[in-house]
Amino acid sequence: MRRIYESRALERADDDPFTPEGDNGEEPGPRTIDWAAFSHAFTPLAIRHRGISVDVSTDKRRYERGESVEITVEFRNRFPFPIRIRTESPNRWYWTVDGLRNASRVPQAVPDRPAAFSFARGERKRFRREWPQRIQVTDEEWESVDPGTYTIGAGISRSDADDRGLVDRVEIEIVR
Amino acid sequence: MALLEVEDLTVQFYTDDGVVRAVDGINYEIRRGEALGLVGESGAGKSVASLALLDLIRAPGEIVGGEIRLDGRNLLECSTDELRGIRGDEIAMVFQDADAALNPVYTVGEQIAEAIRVHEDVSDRAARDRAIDLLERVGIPEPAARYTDYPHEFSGGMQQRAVIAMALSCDPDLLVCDEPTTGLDVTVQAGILELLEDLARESDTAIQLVTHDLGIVAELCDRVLVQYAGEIVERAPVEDLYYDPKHPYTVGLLASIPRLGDDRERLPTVPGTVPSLVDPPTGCRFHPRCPYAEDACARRSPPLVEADTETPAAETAPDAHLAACLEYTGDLEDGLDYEVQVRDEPPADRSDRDRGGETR
Repeated sequence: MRRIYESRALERADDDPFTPEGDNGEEPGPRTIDWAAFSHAFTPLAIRHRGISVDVSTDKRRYERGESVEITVEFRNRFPFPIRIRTESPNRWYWTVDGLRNASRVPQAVPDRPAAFSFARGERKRFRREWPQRIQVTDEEWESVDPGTYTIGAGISRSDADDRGLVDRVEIEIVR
Repeated sequence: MALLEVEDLTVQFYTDDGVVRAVDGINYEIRRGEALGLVGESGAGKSVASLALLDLIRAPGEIVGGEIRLDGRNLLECSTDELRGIRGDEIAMVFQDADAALNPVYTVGEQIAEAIRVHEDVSDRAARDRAIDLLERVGIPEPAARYTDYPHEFSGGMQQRAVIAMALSCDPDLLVCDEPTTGLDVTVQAGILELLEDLARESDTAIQLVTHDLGIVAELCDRVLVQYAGEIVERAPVEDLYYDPKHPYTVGLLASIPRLGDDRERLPTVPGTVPSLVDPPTGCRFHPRCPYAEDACARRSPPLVEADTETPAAETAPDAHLAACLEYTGDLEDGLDYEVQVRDEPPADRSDRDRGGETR
């Protein structure tokens, strides 16, 4: 497991060991081209969104009641150059169960500020979630869902994600 | 008033995989001169909780909620300059990896003297003399000669002592030690602990000791917090925690400590691993690993309450024994079924000396 010290979240400055270091040391050299920024500057917005595909899948289509649903969400950059998509939240993407983000009726406390979801050329990012067939109803309570059909979705955190094809959905069935 | 009060502290990291809530609404306080242990497995959020005290969390992490009050002043509202004045002067930190904490191109003594000069209006000479005194206090032999040594000329234990000397340089009110003995051999470890113990006894400095080693906590601390998956699951005075653990996770941790004379072939372990904080389990976060888990544990998150009276944590005294388990809110049907045996004599006398064989 990576420790906090290795996460680049903490670096100490030379002049004061108790102060986090500024970003100055991370500036690229003058001769280095930041291809991600270059591509971001010159790729039209519409093309950027078309380059990213979103795919959500589950390990099965039918589940017994109480069985965990293994969800795999894959984002792929189809282009041979880096793509960066602006998101409306530092939580760059979300997953839903019947439209409920994180299978919860309790909103997640994430600051409302833009961030970016970056992809290297041709990069795939694959994430996994496990849904134990429970919906969070309050801060402390979860309820098991009834048998039936449920839609598992995933998308990039943008209000226009649906229009731009940055979401995907799959239906599953929970049987008795 | 307590020296340090942490209230509902929440720290999140934003990654491509999702939001990692490394510290999730923890509350505690440290009184002047008290030694508080923060224990838990790797990945429980202990280091993040400690770094947050000094506002040392950097992007992609941030403190999203709560208050950290030092002598009544909320550190999260302090300016960068005010924080700079507090770091090292009022709250000092001893990092886990002393080799990385020391700057390799400055002499050890100069680094200690620099910390003194930054916070106090002293001459170079006076700072040097104090640095030498500090090196002597932490047990570095021939401190005047070693003042001009570079970090690579110090052994691992001496480096850690030097870092402690640096942390003590301005007589801080609170010393945060993040696994100060990890990676050191046992004899050096004992020396460092003795040093911290003397410090705790002789001065008014409070210590927050972050470790995964319950043995160290027993030796040094007055009270203990057990952290699991970003949450505090048990809080107790050190003796209560060892003799009468209330949370199944603490029981698992205590059972996995090796003991002299223990003839079992394998040590018991807490099965499984700390859950991913991107997608923590529903209900009690420990329930997938808990041998006493029931259906309710997956559906309800247990509040931290006083184990005997069910009093909510916010209404209890600092010395109360708190645990976050549905057993203590009356929601567990079969209850917890473990036995605590305290063995204080060699194995030959063991059968006669068992005490506190309490079954739950």
